[in-house]
Order: sequence, then structure tokens, then C-alpha cells
Amino acid sequence: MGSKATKKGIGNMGTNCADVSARLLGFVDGDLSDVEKALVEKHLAGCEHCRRKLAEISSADQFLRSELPPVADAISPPEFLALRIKHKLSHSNDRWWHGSGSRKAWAAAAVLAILLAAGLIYGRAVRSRRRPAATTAEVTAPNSNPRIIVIVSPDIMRRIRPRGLIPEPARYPQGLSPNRLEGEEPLEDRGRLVRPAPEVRSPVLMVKPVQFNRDM
Amino acid sequence: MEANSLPGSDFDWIVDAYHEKIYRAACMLLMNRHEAEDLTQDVFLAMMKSYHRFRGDSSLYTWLYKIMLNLFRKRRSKRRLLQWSFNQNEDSQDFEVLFTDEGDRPEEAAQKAERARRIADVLRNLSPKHREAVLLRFYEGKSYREIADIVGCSEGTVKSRLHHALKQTGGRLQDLKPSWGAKQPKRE
Repeated sequence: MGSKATKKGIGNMGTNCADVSARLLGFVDGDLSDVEKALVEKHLAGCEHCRRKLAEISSADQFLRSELPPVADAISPPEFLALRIKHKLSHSNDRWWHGSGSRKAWAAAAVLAILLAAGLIYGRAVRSRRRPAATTAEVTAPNSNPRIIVIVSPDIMRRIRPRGLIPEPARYPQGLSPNRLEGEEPLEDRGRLVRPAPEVRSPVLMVKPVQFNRDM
Repeated sequence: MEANSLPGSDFDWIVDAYHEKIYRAACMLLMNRHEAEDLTQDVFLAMMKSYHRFRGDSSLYTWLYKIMLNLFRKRRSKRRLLQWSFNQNEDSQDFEVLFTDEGDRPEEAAQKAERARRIADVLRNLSPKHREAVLLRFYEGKSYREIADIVGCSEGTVKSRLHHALKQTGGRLQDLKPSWGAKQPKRE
């Protein structure tokens, strides 16, 4: 008795309702030291409020101890529950995504690599097919300074050729002419008027003024 | 050893040994037999996926019980997200059906049903956390320390939850049946 009291101690336990209330569960369980138990009993003797609380707790404790287990034990699972669970387990075990963490990581990496390779192949194919989007022509304005470089689409290149805006083919870089653009096969009828494309929405992509030395 | 390297049939003995207990615990926790079936199934699926993490610190049943509580809490939070009300009245009949056995005599059946009704009424009026503590204490017979370990809180919190749960139950019992009402404590 004494050993229990000294082991658990009474701490700062007073004899007010809050202190006693905190120990009511232990009191019902028989889990208090002898000193604590004596203090609780002393308080209960003179406090109707705490006696009522204790009565509620002990009756609930008694009720749950005696009534809960038989009710729960009376429950039996549905007939095929175990069978269904086993079936689910065996079915679930076959699926690769239920694998371990490392297996999942490898699978994810493989999927990512495949997607990346497909993207690269597609990008390269598209780039090889694409025609040059625009080319450069200098507008002949001999005495103007700054001179103007107009960046135009291939279609407008064809359109401005007959109007004489672009002087001689020699001025085109790398043997390009208004009839032959970068990436295009040479036309049979070079030198003849090439009809402009029927629809050109916004031919001039950029006008870039270039400052340069007049003596050049 | 990884669980997934084993064929599913290697878990059959665990299912055979524990599915009844887990189902009962799930029924008492959820108060709904259909949801309890789903939860039981999910417990074993989760067990199979994470079997390699079972270190044997506790019994297999305690480990399964922890899995069940985690899944139960996930379900509850999902419900909260979806703003589904936990309509306990709808579930009430579903739970009592568990205790109707055609083989019982009428008086016996009535007695069983009445007992189940009282327990169901008490448990439904507890919050899920209080219900967890009550079931672990009064059905599973766990100590405060074990409950704290399973539920994942301190012993003090467990005691506090049980204190509140018992106080609430005591008040409820007075309404349910006069014989279970408050009793005067013994005087020394």
C-alpha cells in the first residue's frame, strides 16, 4: 500500500472538483494510489456534483464492460467475405502497379523515356518539313539613310519581284532569288512571273531599320 | 521479404484468421455493415501492399487494427471534403439487422435486438475519436498505453477521451433505460 502511494505520488493534487474530476476514471478503474483514492473519497463525501459525475462514469463503465462484448461478438461476417477478399488479393497481386516502390519508379522512368523519345522524333520530323518562314529583301532606296531591311514572307517575295522593288538577283545571298527560296527546288520557269499566293494575311513580319555609313 | 513477391494465396491464412475480427471491429466503428465490408476488404489489400513494413513490434491483429483506423480516418476526411453528412439515422437499421437471426426464439431475438439497439445508440452519440477509444478499451480490452500506441496519441489524451466518452454515455443511459441510470457511489 505504502509502496504504491510513494510510487505514484499525489503530485499537486488538491481537493477541488477539477482535480477530483480528472481522477474519476482512475478511481473507477482502481488505478489510483491509496493516498489519491482517500482524497477523492473524502471529496466525494461532501460534493454532490462530483458524486453525480462518478455515478455517470461508473454506470457507463459497467454498461460498456458487460454489454459491448456480447453485442460485438454476435456480429458475423457475410458468408463470402473471406472468399471475396482472397480473390481481390490474388487479382491485385497480378497488377504491376501494385509493385514495390522501386518497381513503380522504374516503370515511371520507362514511360517518361518513351514519351521523351517520341517527342524528339516528332519534333525533328516537323522541323525537316517546315519551309523557311521568311526571308530578307532590301528595299532599294539608294539615297535613304537609314536604309530599310524588310523581312517578308516567301509569298511576298514572289509578289514584289515583278514590281521591280527588288533589283538584281545578284543581291540575294547564297544564290537565292525571288523564285527560289531556301529549301525549295529550282523552278523550271525561272525568270517568269510567278503568280502571287491567293491569300496573304500578314506578309510583313518585321521592319527593321538599319543604320549604316553612307560612304559604304 | 516483399509482400508483392509472394503469390496472393500466401495471405489467405491471414484473411482466414483475422477477417472476422476485423469485420466486427469495422462494424462497431462504422455502424454500417456494407461500409464495414468495404473497409475490411481495404484493410487486407493495404496489408498486402505494406506487409514488408510489418516489423512484428505488435501482434498482427494490432497492426491490422491500426491499418483499419487509418483507412477509417481517410474515409471520414473524404466525406468531410465531399460534404457528405454522416447520417447516423440512415445507418441505424442497417446495424441492427446484424443481430436478427431467424433461428432465435422471439424473446431471445427481442432481447438481442434491444441490447444491440442500446449499444448502437450509445456508440452513435460518441464522436469517432471517442468511439475508437471506447471500442479499444471495452471490446478489445487494451490498456491505456496500448490504446495510445494504436490511436497515435498520448496516454493522457486517451484517458481524457475515455473520461468524456463515459460521461456522455452515462448521461445517455439515463435516457435509454432507468436500470442503467446513475447509481450512487459506495460510501466507505
